[in-house]
Amino acid sequence: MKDKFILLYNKLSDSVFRYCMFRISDRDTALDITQETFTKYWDVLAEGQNVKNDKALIFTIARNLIIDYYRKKKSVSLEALTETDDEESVEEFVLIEGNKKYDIETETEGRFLISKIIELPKSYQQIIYLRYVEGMNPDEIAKILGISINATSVKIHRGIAELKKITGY
Amino acid sequence: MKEINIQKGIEQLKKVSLTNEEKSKMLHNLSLYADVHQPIPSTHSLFSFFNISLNRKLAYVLTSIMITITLGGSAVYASEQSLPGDLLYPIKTKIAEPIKMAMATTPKEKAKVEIELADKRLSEAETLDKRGKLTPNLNKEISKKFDSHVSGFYKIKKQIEKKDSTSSIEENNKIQKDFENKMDSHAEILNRFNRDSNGLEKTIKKEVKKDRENIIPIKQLDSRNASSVDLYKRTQFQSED
Repeated sequence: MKDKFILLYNKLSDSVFRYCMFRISDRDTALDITQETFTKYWDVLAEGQNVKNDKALIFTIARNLIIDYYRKKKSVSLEALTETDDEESVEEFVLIEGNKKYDIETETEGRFLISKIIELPKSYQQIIYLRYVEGMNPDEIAKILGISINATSVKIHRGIAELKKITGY
Repeated sequence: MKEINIQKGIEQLKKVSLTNEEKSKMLHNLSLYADVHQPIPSTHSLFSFFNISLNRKLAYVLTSIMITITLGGSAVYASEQSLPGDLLYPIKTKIAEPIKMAMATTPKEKAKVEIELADKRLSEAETLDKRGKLTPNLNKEISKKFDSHVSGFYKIKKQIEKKDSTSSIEENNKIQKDFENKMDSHAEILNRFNRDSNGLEKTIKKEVKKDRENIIPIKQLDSRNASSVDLYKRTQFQSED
């Protein structure tokens, strides 16, 4: 079991870290969340739970930890109190929350692309990122985000059309 | 050209990753964590395969095979003649006899096994009594086992009674007669059993009496003659549970 765990760590740790970085834009926090993701994944394996898709599970854990991170950071403000359920649920699909600026070292095209992804409608952002940067299939994305495969496929199609429009590519 | 730019952007974004040092340090931490938090034995382990609540019959059969291989078939055979208090008696009552019951597939066969085992208990008590070794504790132990076989017998008999066919009525009659004959042959020792715990002997006598009143000779029954079958149903003893 430990061999399997190490294999998956070696295969996915960079992806998970990158996902955390693009969600939080803070290296130390991203490192912590990445480590905690794999810790929790080990716990699942140790409990003997049957895991059908390890990659989807690991990213789901990472996503949930990031949601928890943002919830803890949210200050009690009038804006937060007046947030509706709809707004909150859409926020969970954004790539990076609030007006946080990216502090990630990357080259011109990369910087440009990520800035355009976060200009997409909120419900498309994470889907497009997971599909085109992390190379995930609609089934995996659906599992991670907790939505249907149909909705995922539709959003991928619409999201890439929108991205092409705003990038001019 | 434009598509290549998106692809180039993706490739550049993918370069955002852990440094080698960060990766190996994290792996080291995770490895330590994994060593401390070892896997919990699964509830679906080999041990639980023998869990009685999951697979009683198979557990008994496989356990007996293991014991037979370990101890040799002679031990199981020798246990057949053992009496309460003997070393091999638990093998008889907890392994050999449950196997016998597990191998009985129909209610009729099961009822026969229960009668046989109830009869055995009475025979064991008689043998010990003749040898002057039927202590109050052994008397109580045998009585308890006997009670469970009798209860089992009546439960199975009720299952057979629920079947609406001539063959099941015939079966029921025969099984009942077998049971009564066996009990009659051990009347004396039956009286010696402790009846205060559950009044089982009174129950047996009551049910035997009712069954004798309600048994209709087979020749009068005809599955094609609905009125005879209805008559049987109306007079048949209805168990309270």
